[in-house]
Amino acid sequence: MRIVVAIKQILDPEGITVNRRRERIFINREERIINPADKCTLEAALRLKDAHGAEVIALSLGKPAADDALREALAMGADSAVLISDKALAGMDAPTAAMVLARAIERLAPFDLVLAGQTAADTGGDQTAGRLAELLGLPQVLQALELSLDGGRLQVVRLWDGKPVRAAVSLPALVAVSPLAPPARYPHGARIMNAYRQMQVSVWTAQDLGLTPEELTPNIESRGQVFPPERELGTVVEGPPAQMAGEILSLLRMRRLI
Amino acid sequence: MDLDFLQSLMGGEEMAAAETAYQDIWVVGEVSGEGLTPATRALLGKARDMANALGVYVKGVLFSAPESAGSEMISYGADTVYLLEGAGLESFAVEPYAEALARQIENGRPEIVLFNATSLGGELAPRLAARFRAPLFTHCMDLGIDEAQRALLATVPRLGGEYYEILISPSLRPQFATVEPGVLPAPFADPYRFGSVERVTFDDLPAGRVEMLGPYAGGLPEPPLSRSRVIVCVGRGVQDTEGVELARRLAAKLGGLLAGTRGALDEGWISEEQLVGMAGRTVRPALYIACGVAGAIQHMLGIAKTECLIAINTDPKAEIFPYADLGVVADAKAVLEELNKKLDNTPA
Repeated sequence: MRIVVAIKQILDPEGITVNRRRERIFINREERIINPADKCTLEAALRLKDAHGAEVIALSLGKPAADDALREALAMGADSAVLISDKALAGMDAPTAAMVLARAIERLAPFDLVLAGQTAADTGGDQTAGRLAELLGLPQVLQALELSLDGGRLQVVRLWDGKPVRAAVSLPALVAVSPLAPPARYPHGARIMNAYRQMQVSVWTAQDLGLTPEELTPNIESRGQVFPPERELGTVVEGPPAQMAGEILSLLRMRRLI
Repeated sequence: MDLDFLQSLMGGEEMAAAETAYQDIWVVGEVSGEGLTPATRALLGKARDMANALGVYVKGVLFSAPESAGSEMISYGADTVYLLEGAGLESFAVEPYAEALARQIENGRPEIVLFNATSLGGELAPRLAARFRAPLFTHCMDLGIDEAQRALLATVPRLGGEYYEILISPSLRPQFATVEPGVLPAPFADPYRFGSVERVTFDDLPAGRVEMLGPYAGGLPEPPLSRSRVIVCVGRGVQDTEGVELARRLAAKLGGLLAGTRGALDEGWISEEQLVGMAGRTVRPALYIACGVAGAIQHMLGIAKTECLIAINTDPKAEIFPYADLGVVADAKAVLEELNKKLDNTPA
């Protein structure tokens, strides 16, 4: 079984502070990590590999620095890695990114399973997986938590409007893994060294994928940022427990938390 | 002023052609139980406002829904409602649903198609956007119209909602967006609004390739504390294991997890994994309810990025209160009991 896992490298959101009052975004610590949902996706692929044997190919689209993300995937247990990186791809929008990834996955054919993370923790994007399924003509199972293989059919536990449900699909298929799926393993130290010393990350350019500049023209523009109002802290109320519980519930309703 | 600019203002031929090609705002709705979901109603209200700004119609789309749901869509602002029917549309399967909607979009040529950011919208919107090579804005917190460019302005959350970005796609049509349920205000229904409900039947839709096997009964691995949206934290102030149990029940009702302070760990109420603070986990939940937590700096560092912090403590001078969105001076155990009781009485 060949599994292609699409991963994205992002700036660690933990290292970014948003000052709502001054409407500024500060990057305190510029650390690049694998997008959390994509890391869960790698784990899901590696669990399938452990249980049934599979070839796991990690695929990423990004700056040359994304090489580190792919080495991490190799250290975790991926068999090979491909980085699509090209100056022509800078500043691309979500539709283009999905198109480029689909083109690369087609080039990696034959494959049995394409895995992608459900959401990106930085941009909040939640569309690459669905777009890939459409562009590759595959059936899709989104928001997956657990994957298992049962006689050639993939059994998936997925979330549907927040509740876990079961789904089954025959291969080839695309599965998007939820960031709530089991967290990823730590790679063995020796494998980390191996990933840098012995394993290769192939680099593909826009030309390798036959992409034309017209296809890569971005069509989505930003019109600036909006900052939610600053939190007003320090409101303290006092009273009998029943009334206090009412206060708490009304705040939760106002903030749409229940 | 140069002539080109004037001509472009008067509307070049291209622009006129583009406008006749795509118009109207479509809302892909969802039905639950007796009628439209609240999010669908709110979405119709927003679509109505935007359609008024553009001078176009609002059209609703429902899959295998009763006529009454169509009339409800009209009362909330739709002018026409398409009830899509046919073999394959009885229950959700992405291939027939997407195919039916794609054909309808090809015929109707809407300029904007809106979905709720529910599982249904999350499945359909990316597939359709890819099919039409169109832009899609996901989990929008608000929508607007740039009237000069006649394009959708989508406010999307960044960094998990720390701030928002306004995005626009000036040239591509149709434009797709999914809107986070619960962020738009509920509109008023006008039962006397006029509109038409049309049944559209498809007879050659592709079969769904994913089999839906019903609810999953087995236990799920708990998501790690660091990714939980809701956390109820106990400190020494909950007094005993009974108080901890109340907190655990509250966490379960809110779809969250139980956590604790160093004090709670020392008492043996929580495990090492549930410890929040400098020595334990760093968390960034949407809601953090601290029960009987004093707010030592070691603890506060672990919850600095909480969106909404509620603190319950008997001591009005507790260090946690200045950081709390709402501080409650009361006995944590008693308030937890009342909260559980009140949540039991209100239907989910």
